[in-house]
Amino acid sequence: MNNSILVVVAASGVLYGTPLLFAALGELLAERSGVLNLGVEGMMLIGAVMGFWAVQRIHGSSHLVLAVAILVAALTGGLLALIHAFLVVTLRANQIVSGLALTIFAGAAGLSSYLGNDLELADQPARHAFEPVDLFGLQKLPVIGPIVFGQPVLVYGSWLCVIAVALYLARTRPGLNVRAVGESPAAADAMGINVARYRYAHTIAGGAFAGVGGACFSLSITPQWVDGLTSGAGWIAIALVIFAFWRPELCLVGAYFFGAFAALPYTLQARGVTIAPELFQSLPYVATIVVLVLVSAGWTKRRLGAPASLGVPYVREEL
Amino acid sequence: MIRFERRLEQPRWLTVAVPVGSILVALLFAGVVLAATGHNPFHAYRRLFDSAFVAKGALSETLVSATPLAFTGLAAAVAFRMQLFNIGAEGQLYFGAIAAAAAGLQLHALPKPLVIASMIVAGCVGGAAWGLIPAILKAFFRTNEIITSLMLNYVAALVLNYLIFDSHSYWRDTSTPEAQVFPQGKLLPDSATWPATTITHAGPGLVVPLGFLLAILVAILLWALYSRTRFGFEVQVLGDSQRAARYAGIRTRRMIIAVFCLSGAVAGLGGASQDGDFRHLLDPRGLSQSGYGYAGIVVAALARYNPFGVVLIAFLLGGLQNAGYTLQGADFPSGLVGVIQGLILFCALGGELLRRYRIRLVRRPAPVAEGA
Amino acid sequence: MALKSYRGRDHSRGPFLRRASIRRKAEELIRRYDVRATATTVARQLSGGNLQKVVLAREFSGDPKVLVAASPTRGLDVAAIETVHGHLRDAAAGGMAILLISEDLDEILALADRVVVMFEGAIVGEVDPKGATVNEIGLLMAGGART
Repeated sequence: MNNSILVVVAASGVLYGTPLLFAALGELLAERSGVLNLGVEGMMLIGAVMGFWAVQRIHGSSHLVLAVAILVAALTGGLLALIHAFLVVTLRANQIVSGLALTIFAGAAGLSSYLGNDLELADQPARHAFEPVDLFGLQKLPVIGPIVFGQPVLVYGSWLCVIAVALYLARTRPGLNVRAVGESPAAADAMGINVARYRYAHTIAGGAFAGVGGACFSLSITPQWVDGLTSGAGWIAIALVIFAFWRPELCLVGAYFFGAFAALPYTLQARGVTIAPELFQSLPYVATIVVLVLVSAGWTKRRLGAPASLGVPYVREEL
Repeated sequence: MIRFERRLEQPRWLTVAVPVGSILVALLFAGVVLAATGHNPFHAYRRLFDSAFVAKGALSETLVSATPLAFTGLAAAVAFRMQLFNIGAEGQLYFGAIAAAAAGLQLHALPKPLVIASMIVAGCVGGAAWGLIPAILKAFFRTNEIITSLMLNYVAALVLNYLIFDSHSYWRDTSTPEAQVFPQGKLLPDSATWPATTITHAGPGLVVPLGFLLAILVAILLWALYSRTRFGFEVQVLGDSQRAARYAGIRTRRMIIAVFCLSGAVAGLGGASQDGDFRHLLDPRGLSQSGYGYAGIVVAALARYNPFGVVLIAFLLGGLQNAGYTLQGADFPSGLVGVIQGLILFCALGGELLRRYRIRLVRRPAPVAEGA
Repeated sequence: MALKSYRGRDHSRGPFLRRASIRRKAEELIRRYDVRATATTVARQLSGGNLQKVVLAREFSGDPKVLVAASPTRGLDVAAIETVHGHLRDAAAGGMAILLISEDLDEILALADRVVVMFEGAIVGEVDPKGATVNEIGLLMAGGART
């Protein structure tokens, strides 16, 4: 029963959806503060390569090395986001072009490739990886066993993050402040909130989350480093935020939905299904488009939940 | 403290200085990165410059790299001018290549000029058709075109793969037993090979591909379209303010579709050029590895969406790309090209700020002295 | 400046724009309405008052018979307000019908020949500007009983 295709796809869906979830949470934070970060793909790739580097080069117990690797991934992702924040908040550059520039800079033909090849990280398996664990020994339960209790620690970490982000936005003072910044920076400014600082902080946090998401690929899903191994997950994450209506809980649902689509081709292939793999491989991308259209078009008259100042640089008008 | 003051006028010299300066500053930063990772930046740059422009045949090779960049750059410029962020030039190029290859294969019996003409038309149609999807989604469903066009890039790459690697399609070469095992596209017939003009001064001449000439022609046409026609005026108004456009009675939906398809057509033409000028078959791996569509965005942004600037910048960045290929190996770090491209964009973005604002250092006002 | 007229015969020929003619028109309008800018200045960089003059110039240049002016002087400084009022008065004297919509009661009382007050989507009263007081109008605006 636990080997049935449905269960396997669901379990893999959770696994494949985890990087999407991390990246989406990060993007959600950035967008709530009014900053559109299109560089998520690049940040994920940097996190993937640097996390992998940490695992290959740092010596110690498996747990320690993996923890450090996640930290490294988060740090490097955040650093990259710092560039975006600087360009967009301080220099008031066009957020779309800046994000694209970051993806080109750090992406599959850029910095991540440079680092990966220069540091000789290709063609080798990870020395430590996040293996699935047997949580509470419940992995053998029918159906929900492998899906809920047999996942790598990263998955559980992502759940904690969802809860944390949701509570942060809804219940804490800084969380409410950042929402104000995203809705109306002028009003927030007048209330004494430092708009720039909030935007910097949340953009960097977004990058850190994206970095961790990228590390999911190189430390858990594959676990190996290949140039461009995220193949567009960062972009899907951006779309994910939109149709999660900027709510963390819905990000989780959406991430697993797309994770399932991503997992489907591999599962089917393992079963010997011989329909052209490309058809299934295109499903996540097509699904993204379809859902995005539905959200933008009929179901909601306005973009429910979009921070009003998203994408607009804030300039304090001095006359 | 630093104060940003809006500029009233944009000094002419800045318009040139910013892109040039961006490239220089970017090279500087990249040099630091190189040095930090144990490479000699001067050495690397020297070799870069040589392979790009100086070495034997380098200029011709640079034109080979520059041609697709010019097309995708023009495609991006066309759309971005209207704040329509068509990131899908990559996929539109692929579809142009698919369509043009089909035309070349099918019509090979016709006289050469006709074959080439049909490839050009097919390329434009293929690219425009792929661009129509995000266009309609944006025009009628207000769907964000950045994500849709980007997702379609991935889908287009998969289609390309499917046609050559995983099916027995019209495009696939099944003539030799070797081709059965190592899939590749059918070779395009001679009549589908685009001619190149050779300019000889002494020794090996400069080979100018037909595609490059076409790109220049397209640049001229686009420039005329945008600066001299009503359509161009409407594009500018739409780009500046959607509300003003509506007030003036401009049909926004039509413009979105028109501009997107125009952009796609130009990118598709780039794909046709890839088939006819350089590869002579449908080459999924080569096309997707090159990332012309994304690089075109860098070109367009640097050139500030000016068509002639695009061609010029495409030439420069083509040199960079060309050098990157030639030098690939243990000695020259791969991925450097993307790093430099990204850095150039960052500097250009920062430079934009200089254009719009004047930076002034304002001393904090001294505390008012006591007394009269 | 050519936002509404660019399709007309003197500003376009077929699909092409007559740029020289457009520029000449713009320069003339700039002179006539005393706009602090040149024909090539980007509109985004103009100050509020200047921008409003540009809008006025553009609308007047089409020689409309009816003009709807909604909050035409909001956010402008005193001098700019005076200029705008002057143009509106001249245009009205020249036969243009102007529907002035504004929340600035002083402005309305200064310019209007007839004053109509609306509340919750319905017309609740008409007032003669020569004798009316701000209080009276305010009461009507807030839904007070008709006098």
